[in-house]
Amino acid sequence: MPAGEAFTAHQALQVRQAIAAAEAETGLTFSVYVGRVHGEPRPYAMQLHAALADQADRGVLVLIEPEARRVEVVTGETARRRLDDRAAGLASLSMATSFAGGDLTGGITNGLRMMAQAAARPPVLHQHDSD
Amino acid sequence: MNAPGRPRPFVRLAAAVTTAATGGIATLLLAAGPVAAVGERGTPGGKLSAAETFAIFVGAPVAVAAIIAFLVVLPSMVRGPRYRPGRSWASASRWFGEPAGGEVAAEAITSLPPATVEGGGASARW
Repeated sequence: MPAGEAFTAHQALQVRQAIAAAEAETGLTFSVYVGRVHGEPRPYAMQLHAALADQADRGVLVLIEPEARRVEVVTGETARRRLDDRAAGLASLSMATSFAGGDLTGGITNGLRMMAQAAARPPVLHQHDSD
Repeated sequence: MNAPGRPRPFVRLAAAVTTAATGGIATLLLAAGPVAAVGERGTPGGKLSAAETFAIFVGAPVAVAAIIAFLVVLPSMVRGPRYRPGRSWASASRWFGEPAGGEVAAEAITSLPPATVEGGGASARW
């Protein structure tokens, strides 16, 4: 892969559209970082999430480290109520599967769509015990 | 093997006629070329120069191979660079949906605040 842009203009547009669609659907803020990280991916992802500043509470940050082959999803406090860790885990697994096949853009757009669908669902406030 | 209601001799006859006709016509056609050429008069061309020989026997095959190779590579050229798992990541980092509303290259991210949320999330590997 040549140095420079990892995404073509069209691919970047697809990612931007996926973010816009997810935000419109859920009211949350989505942010996607693709690239190298300094140090461990998880703390770096949480720093990036904190950099969303006043959006952090409603923010969902997706970090993709192509070389370390890691996906990290960080959700803010409000965002977490809509997008629980199970749904985030499912989306990150789906993204990882696409990335393993070399499809960065497809993985990102699919993952965002999954997270938006999960977050758009009304939250479960009460769960029945199975009887 | 034999379809009921269709007499076998008829099928055999049809096959024999077809074979004979095909063979005859093919032989005639094949023979027609040399026969027609017998009385033909023409001037043989001059000897090929070294450059012409080279162009025909080396240049033309190379050109054909180059065209085929180009057609093979064309789709991936159009599709642009592609991430390949396991290869090193040489591209610039990209942040979509960056706080300021735009997109920044990773080199532009100089300082990050310390992590604030104890919030949730998930991670995966591939």
